[in-house]
Amino acid sequence: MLIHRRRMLQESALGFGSLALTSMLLRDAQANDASPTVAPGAHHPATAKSVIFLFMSGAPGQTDTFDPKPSLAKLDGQQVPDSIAATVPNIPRSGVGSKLFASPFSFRQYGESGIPVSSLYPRTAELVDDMCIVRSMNHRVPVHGPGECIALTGTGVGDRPSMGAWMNYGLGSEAQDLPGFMVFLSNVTGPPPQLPGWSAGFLPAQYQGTLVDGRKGVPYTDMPSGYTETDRRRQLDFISELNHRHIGRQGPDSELEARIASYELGYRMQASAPETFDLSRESQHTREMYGLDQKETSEFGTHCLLARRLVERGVRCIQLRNGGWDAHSGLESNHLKGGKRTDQPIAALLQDLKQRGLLESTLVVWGGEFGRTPTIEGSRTGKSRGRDHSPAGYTMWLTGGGVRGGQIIGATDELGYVPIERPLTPADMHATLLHAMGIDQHRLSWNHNNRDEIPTVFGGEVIQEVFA
Amino acid sequence: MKDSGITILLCVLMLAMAPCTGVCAGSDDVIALDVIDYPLGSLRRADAGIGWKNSWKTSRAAIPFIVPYPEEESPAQTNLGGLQSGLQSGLQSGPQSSDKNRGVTIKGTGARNNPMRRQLAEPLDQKEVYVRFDLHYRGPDEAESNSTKPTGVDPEFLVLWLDRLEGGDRSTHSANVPNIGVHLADRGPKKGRNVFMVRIGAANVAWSKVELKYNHTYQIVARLTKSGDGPRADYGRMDLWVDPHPGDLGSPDASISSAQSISQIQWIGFSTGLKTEASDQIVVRNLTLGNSFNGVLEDSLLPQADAPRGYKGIVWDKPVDFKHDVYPLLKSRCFDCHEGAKPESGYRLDVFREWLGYSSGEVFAEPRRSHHSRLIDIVAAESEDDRMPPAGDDPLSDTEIAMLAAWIDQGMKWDDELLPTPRRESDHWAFQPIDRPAIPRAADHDWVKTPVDAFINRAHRREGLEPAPEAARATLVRRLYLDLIGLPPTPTELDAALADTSPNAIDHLVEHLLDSPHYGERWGRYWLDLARWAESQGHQHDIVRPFAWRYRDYVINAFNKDKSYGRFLKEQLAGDELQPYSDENLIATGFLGAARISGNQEDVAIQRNDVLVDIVNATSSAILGLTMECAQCHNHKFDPVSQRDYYRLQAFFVRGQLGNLSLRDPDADHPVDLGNWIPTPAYDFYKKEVKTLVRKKLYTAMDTPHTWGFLSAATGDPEIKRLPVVNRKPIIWQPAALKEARGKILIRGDAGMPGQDVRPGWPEVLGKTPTSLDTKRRSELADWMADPDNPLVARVWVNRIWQYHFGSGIVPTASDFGVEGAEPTHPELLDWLASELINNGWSTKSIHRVIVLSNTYQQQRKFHVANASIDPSNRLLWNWPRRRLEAESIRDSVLVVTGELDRTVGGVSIPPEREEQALRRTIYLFQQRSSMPSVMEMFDAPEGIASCSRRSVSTVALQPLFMLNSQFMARRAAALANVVAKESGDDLQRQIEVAFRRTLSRGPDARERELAEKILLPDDASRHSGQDANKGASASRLTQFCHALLNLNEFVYIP
Repeated sequence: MLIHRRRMLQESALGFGSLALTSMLLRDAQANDASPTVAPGAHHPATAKSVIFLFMSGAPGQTDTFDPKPSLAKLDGQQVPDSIAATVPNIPRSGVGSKLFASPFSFRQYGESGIPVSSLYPRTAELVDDMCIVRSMNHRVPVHGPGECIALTGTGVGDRPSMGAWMNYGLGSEAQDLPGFMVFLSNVTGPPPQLPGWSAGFLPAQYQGTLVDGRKGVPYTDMPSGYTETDRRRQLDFISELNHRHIGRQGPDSELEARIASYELGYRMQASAPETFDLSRESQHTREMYGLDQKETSEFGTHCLLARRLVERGVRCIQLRNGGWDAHSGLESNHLKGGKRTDQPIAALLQDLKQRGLLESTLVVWGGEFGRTPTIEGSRTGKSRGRDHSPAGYTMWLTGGGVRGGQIIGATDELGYVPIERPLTPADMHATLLHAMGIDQHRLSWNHNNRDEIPTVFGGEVIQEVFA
Repeated sequence: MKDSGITILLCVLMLAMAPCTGVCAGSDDVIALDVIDYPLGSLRRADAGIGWKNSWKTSRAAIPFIVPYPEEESPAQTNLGGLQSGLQSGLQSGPQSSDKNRGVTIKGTGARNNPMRRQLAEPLDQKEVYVRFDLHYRGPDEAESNSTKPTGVDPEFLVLWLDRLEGGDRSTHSANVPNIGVHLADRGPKKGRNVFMVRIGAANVAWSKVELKYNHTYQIVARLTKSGDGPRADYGRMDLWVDPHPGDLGSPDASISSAQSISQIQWIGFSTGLKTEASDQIVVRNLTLGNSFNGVLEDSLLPQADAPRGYKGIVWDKPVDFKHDVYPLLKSRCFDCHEGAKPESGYRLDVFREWLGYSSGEVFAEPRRSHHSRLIDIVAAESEDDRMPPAGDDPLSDTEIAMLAAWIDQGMKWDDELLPTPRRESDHWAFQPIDRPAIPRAADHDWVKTPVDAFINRAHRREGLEPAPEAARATLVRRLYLDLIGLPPTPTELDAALADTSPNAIDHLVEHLLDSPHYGERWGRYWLDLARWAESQGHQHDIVRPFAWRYRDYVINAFNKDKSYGRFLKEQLAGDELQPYSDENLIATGFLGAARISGNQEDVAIQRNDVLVDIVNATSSAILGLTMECAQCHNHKFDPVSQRDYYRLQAFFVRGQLGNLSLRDPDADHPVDLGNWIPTPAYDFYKKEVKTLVRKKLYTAMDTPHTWGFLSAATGDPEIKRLPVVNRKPIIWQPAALKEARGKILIRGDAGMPGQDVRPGWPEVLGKTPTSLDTKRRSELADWMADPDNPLVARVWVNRIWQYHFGSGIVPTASDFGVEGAEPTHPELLDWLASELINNGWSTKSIHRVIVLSNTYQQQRKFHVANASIDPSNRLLWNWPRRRLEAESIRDSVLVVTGELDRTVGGVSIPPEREEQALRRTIYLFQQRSSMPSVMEMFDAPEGIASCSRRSVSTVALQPLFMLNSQFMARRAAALANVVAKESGDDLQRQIEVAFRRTLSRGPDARERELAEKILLPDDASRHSGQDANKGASASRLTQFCHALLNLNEFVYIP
């Protein structure tokens, strides 16, 4: 009902009085009649206010990161046993005919929970008692593009809104002067990443993720050269007065008033964004903690640090994409680089959020569009061995934002091919993320082409045991 | 063998459940058996037979299909009565006729393919193995003649292989692998003929003397014998018998030995090859592996009869009477939920054809096949969760289940009078014929300028609304310019329009604008939105389509020429078929070609289906105003559109494919410097992909001009050449297979679960598709659309025109004219406009005229308290609606104001990074789906993914930041300041005046001058310092002032 009210306000053609940006107004309207424990726009009490999605694009191997398979070491170089081969779904490139490939990385147990993590993630592993590892993710599409679409929008076609856009639409942003959904790309190799992963689909464009260059910040916040603050203020005053006269000539109009308000919001964003993105304000210690001083970690570390700053400012969704995990050959060196790039920044982000008391209201999710085969791709040998794509079974993890840490959900078979316990899909993960944000996947809807569309079009159930 | 093998009905399920109790004597001889007699649609899911590990795996390249029962209605039997009586007469004439074609049909693809393969439960390594299967090679012309001998020899190929490994869809199981089948003999007495053979390895063949005859069912038996003892010895010898008798063991038709072979058999499958054409259809069945010759040969191994399916020991052997036995049971136990137009879960049981999967492809029962009946499985399910009636209701009694099974086995006789098949019809307004209404006699006839006003005035009167006064002339001129050509008038144009004081001044202006080449650039863009057009494949790699721009120009020209809308549709839907051929028609197929190519390169069936789905969705939404996409998986929940309708519409397109198509005009514009119009990163990637394809020999250079469009292998002009497409994996173009492609219902929308064949047709509720429809199928679809009797097409189009003029349509849901769509605010006006369109030869411009020359259109934007309380959202148009300019017009307007717009029409696109070198209209900026021009991303332009009928208008803070801070806008502000300074000399007031007029088509008032001065001369001291008071502002101040003007609401809204 709240949602409908929101839309009514946005769509009514002739609103009265001085409307602020509709989302701001909405927050007020909703705050008045919402129960104190339920966030504006939410359906039930949320366990998280913000989400940071650490999207490892290209897909890290589950057996090399968070799903150790001792049997794989024993059977290295052998054929996949029939008992397991028969259970692998008929997905192209499943690699069932190839030889098994033991992980080149060692695993060690961490924390009180004793959850094993590979040598790629030693620092992140220190926080394993806060993490919930989901080892039984699976879907059926072994291609990056549609796989990313499934992971981030729910279907492989790429025409539906991304989960971030749904959250941004459902909850709005707490940040008055920043976009509510921001996306950062790091280590981009090969073709451009999938736009649908942060697009608004059929939702209005205002809910789409804003692609931000971590070094430059929000686009268009630098004034043209030669302009001073005073110059800009004069321009805005001129624009504002003429716009008000324009409305005055033709009568009240919410859309025109929203446009007037957007100039003030833009002005504030222009003023505050550079501060938000100015990492020189962080202490040397913090900068080093995130690895800003090292070549391998500085890009992703910058994004992680920015993510924390954005969470502090109330930004709803942040997607940090780190590419380059597509280890078809030379998996060992590829994943070593990937671990090096991301381990320290992720550990720093989690610790930093934790020490600032933000982790409990910030849901952090890690995972790729699928996992990798337990077998060698093709017939490579030695260090050049790699793994092919495998959506049949893979791992993601969650932490913060109401997540019960130190637990493992689901399991794959002894080789890491297929879930044998609690199989879960990206749709289940989406339902879970929305749930944490206080959104009921069945109640958040947008009328598109005259149909009430919901975020999880192909089902999906909240993974209840994720939560404490 | 002959008839028995073909006609026996087999109870495979029973065999599987209770292996060999009495039914199959000698079952010790059986190692594995599958009679290959599957219910529709479930080859990949059913796990029938004995001795197998899993169900069949099928090739994505060409999924074998189950011979449907009953066959899709033949032209003579399209109406339901015919279908049903045909079915029942088939029953009366005995099982032979109806079962003649049972089995699984394998089709060729003209390439190596393994359509079906299956794993044995246990690997075989015994000394001797016998294999038998039955084969029926339907020749290319079975339908037309009964000739059993091919005229000339068309080389054929089909083998059954036995291997240790499964291999993939395209693997050749020929290296030392035993094959049994048909091939063209390369030596011996039958050289050059298609004969049966066995081989171990492609070069090691024994040709029999038995020549293949088409349309004859053969029983093939082979024996594999190990050369030595023990599990590691190879199957080095094979013998072949064709149609043998039990005593023939000593006289095989062919034998072969090989030093090398396989030692173990685990997978068995069929292969087709280069010589197996798409028109070849091979029915296979009765695949048996056994321990003895007579064992596999005897049909007694196969279950002998379809014993009436008893249930828990109850056998119903009396005749079942539908009316007295079945109907009361269905009525009391099923129909509460599964009856009528909106049955639970979409399954209805009160219509006979629905039992056969008519609309959903899901079969509940087929006559005489209770063992395959999904319905019986469901009512007899052990678990409450799987059973119907659902938990809470008592299950059917065992006797009732036995009776239902018997009814099915006795032929499923139905009572048509009791439960007739309903006609699909609807009383929904949009599906009724267009009836040209009389023009109302308007109460305020002074107010009526065109008939449009009469309808609008009547609604105003009825609701007590008072229309706003006529807009000022200058406002109207600006409105017409922005609305009709998407560009504001220059001061000169404005002055010229205002100088015309004749009574027909506005008419002249409208004609002038409709004749402008810029009209097509404005209105063509709306069509490009509907066509989800862009210049790249979409998805992950989003590889560019370098020649997609031709379609953009085609659309612009079509609007400029006021091409008849009917013709416009026909060219776009069937341009490759139309004769006489023209390049223009072919370029028009860019509408179909605009489908994205799915990123799922690993699964060609899904990729192919995604393209077809894209085409059907765009076509139905843009042209018919129907949201059909949900019928992809299930019958439409609200509209009388079935899943069958969806796939019937899809069937129009299944024989075609997207591609780069050759043009013929020797004078056609043929630019080849791709880097000139493709954005650099996209072009670099394109070049890299080309190199890869060249290396894989999948790409050769093109030297003729071409376009991006759609070509049918069956009905397209045969002279059209399809040139290489640069894509990660080239999309499949197999003309032979495409020519034979048939529409199929996909069960629950799953590309891996093809169900019944369907013929092309439009939604049943919109009228009967003629049965003669065949040759130029898409042309006939287009003809049907442009038929004056089509209730939707004209209404949908005039409604769109209305929406593009006023911001909202007479039917606000412009792409949903279905039952759940919004009601028209002025239904008679809609019908009047639709009939006006048809009467004027489908002239779009004729509709513009009656709209823009109306008083309705020429009202002011003016708030009115009383009106607002009656009609707050202005649906009845009591004043000019608020309308923001679209992204393109915002950028284009800026360029007009600064005087920088390059007005060249058409041609290759401009990469956004080079826009400053050619400041052309936004429609010419390169449209790569993943990287649209920033102004378009910023201001709600669609991404070219799905047909977009109406753009949203969002207001976010990044928009002002773009308008105030982007380099593009900073440069424009400077350019405008420059032009203003030149025109006004060093005179401040003149500068303000000129800048206002250029930007807003009006001069400033006193207060606005004052406000302008605050920017231009911020320092009070200098302003009043005497002789400099009227000196012009500095260049930078003037730039800032111009920049501010470009940010006004008044600038980006149509006045």
